[in-house]
Amino acid sequence: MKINLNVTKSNTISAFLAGVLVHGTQVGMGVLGFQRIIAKEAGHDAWISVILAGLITHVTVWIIIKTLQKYPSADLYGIQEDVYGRWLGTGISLLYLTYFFISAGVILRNYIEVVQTWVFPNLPTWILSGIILFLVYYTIVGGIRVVAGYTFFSIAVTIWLLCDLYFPLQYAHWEYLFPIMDSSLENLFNGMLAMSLTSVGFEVIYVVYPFVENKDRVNKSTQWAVLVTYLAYLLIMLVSLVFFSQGQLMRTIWATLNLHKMVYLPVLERFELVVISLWLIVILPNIMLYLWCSARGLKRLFGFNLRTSLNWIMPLIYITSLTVFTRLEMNMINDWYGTTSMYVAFLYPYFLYIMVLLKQRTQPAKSTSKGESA
Amino acid sequence: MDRESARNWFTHTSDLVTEHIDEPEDRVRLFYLSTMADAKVVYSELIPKLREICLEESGVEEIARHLGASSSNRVFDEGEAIERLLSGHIVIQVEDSSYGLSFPSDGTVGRSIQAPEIETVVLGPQIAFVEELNVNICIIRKYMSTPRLFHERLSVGKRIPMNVSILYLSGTADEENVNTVRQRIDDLELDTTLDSTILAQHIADNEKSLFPTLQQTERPDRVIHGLRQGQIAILVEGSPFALLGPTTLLQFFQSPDDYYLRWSLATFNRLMRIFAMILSLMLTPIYVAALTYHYEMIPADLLLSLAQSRSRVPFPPLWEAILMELIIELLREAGARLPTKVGQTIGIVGGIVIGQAIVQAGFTSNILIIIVALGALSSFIAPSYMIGSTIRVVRFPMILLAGVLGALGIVVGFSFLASHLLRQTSLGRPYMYPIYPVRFSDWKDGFIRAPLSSLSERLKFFNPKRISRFDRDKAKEKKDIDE
Repeated sequence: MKINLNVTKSNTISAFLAGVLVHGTQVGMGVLGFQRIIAKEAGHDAWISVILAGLITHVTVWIIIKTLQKYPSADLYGIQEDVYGRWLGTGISLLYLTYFFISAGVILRNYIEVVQTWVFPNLPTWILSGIILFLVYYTIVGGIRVVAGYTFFSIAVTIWLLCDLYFPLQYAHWEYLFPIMDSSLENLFNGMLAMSLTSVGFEVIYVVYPFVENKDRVNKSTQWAVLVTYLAYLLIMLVSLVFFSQGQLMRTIWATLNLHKMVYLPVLERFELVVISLWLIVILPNIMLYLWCSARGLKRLFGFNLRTSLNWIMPLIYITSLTVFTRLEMNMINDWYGTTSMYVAFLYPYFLYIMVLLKQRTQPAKSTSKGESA
Repeated sequence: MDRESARNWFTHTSDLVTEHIDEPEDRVRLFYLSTMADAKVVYSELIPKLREICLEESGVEEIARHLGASSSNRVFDEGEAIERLLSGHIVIQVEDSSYGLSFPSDGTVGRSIQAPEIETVVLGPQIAFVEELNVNICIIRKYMSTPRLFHERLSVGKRIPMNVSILYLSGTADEENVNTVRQRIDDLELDTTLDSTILAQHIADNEKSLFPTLQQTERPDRVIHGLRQGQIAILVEGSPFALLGPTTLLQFFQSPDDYYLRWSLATFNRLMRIFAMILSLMLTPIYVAALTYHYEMIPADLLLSLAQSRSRVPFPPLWEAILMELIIELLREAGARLPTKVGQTIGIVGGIVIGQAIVQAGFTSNILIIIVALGALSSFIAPSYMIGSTIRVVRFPMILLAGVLGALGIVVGFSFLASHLLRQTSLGRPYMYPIYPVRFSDWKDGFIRAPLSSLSERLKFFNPKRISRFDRDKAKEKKDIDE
């Protein structure tokens, strides 16, 4: 495997779209119910935890881009092989691509759970999972440009949902927020850690990076993407904190959906049903990108065709998604995944950056001319 | 063509006229097809002129000189002579000479130029293409006289060649697009009757997609506008529709009218068309989804009137909706096939008999009739007939999805539609431009139609060599009030 990649011009995306991809992958299932998990730790100061998590994410994404910029056009799999050598590199890359795969699976299962809880209790998992995975496959086969286009479309048609927060705000109790800084720093920190499930997604830039056309602007666009994500999270968190009392919030699994319940229009009630349906458009880019990253890994590590890799991955994730989980098990999986993703997405980039620095001190980066085609 | 088949052709062509001019020697003969050539040229020009000279002694050179023939009038073998005869030439053959002479004449009949009937506009030029390729190119050249307008003629089909013309503005159109078109037409191996609509299917990027990827228009002004923007026009002999490419989905919702009206009106119209398309796609599915699964989403007052109107209907909403949509489609198809004289009957049958009676019989609810009619009306707003038909067909899977999965089904349908559209290309260029790839600068002649003075640049989509259309600063230069 060559470390650097030559991507044909017809397969590249702009730096703006790289930012769109980062934002699109960050916003997903987590945002529907992150309030309870964080408020459990940080109480009514949960919004401070959101800001803290935002700052950490900004730094982490910056480090990731720094790492990538040490190479002309490499992705995570290439860098790991360069840093750790052939065998260890392949092993760690395998773990990382499994993480991508599991991320897609967790998102898929969570969405199916929401649909089955709120809209169609009797809808079998195999139908829903099949439909979602068909849409995912159909889009991924179009290439990274189509995936990026879909992500852009997804953001464009769902961003207005933020405006609906106006309805719960009519019943806001602003005194719920006071006193500010009531929780200890440790609690705030724990709250920040609990954000990880909602924050991750930016690590796809590790794999997308070689496909970006103007790489010098990636830093800026990804920082903007993270900023937009966290502004939205902060807004949702604040509205939730002033709308629910702490007691209510502890008993609300999907607080964001409950906020949308407050929307009353002359021709429409129970707005959360619309939100859940539209949320399909929000989570599809997540699953697409994670599976794409995972399939890219198989291609890079073992030289499979991307199509062949997908033909392996799609049935696998379909079968995995059919496993029956109870609410309790789902909670456990989410907690476990949250912890794992914290290590994989938040801590590992720093380690990798140090390793790249150490490696390049002894031996400078290889030039692009030796890259293999994507 | 070999000798044998040439002889065969001469014996089996009954509209072939042979004139023996210098009997009894019978050295000079004149041939023409009475159906293709102009007999007037033969009898009032050629034959009198031929009789002026002494035919018995003169060879072909002398005749040629006398008739004022040049090198292009010479034919050297029978195959060539037949080809010329077929295109309306008059051929003169002199015995024992190395070549014959042919003179062009045109006695064919064709439709005269008329006003457009399919893409009508209120303001603007009222001229449409006809079936004759040369007339169509004449119209374009007439309104766009510039040496930069390049015209390439290609022939399609191995056994029965058809003339196809490619027109583009050199220096504006992207060379790569021209090559793509040329390549795709050259690669065709067909044996069909060719119309531009058929050619469009053959050279389209994705033949299986429901969505048209080349514009078809009968309006010369639309073609000229496209050429100026850097599009490539393809015209086919025998077809009154020109093809324009590359194109985008958004362009199917634009009408030449948009430029003839003032910008605010045009913008309003454009936005309304896009709104109508979404309405047409969404209305019936929403009705089906809401009444099948999500009646709790409908506020009590509205639910009451809905329930009342549906109280006598024995079918589930999905069947009710499909029935109504099918009836509308039947009416439309019947209206399209009927001769115009009896066409009005359809309106009466559809509007009064079916519309009134179906509600009284308790087959559908009143509200559904309103919804279906609105949806159908919206789909007819599309300025391009092609995209209107596409939307009408796409509605059916949407209704089915809504009937199976409710609101989620509608979202699944839209997701698929979005992915599908994002994957489409027109002559290799992205179909969803300028929505994706995002080019906000091109939105001002996309979703909206900004004032003409601000449209100083060509759309970047066509990759034109010259971006600038005029100097914006110069056009906007204003004098101070007291100057």
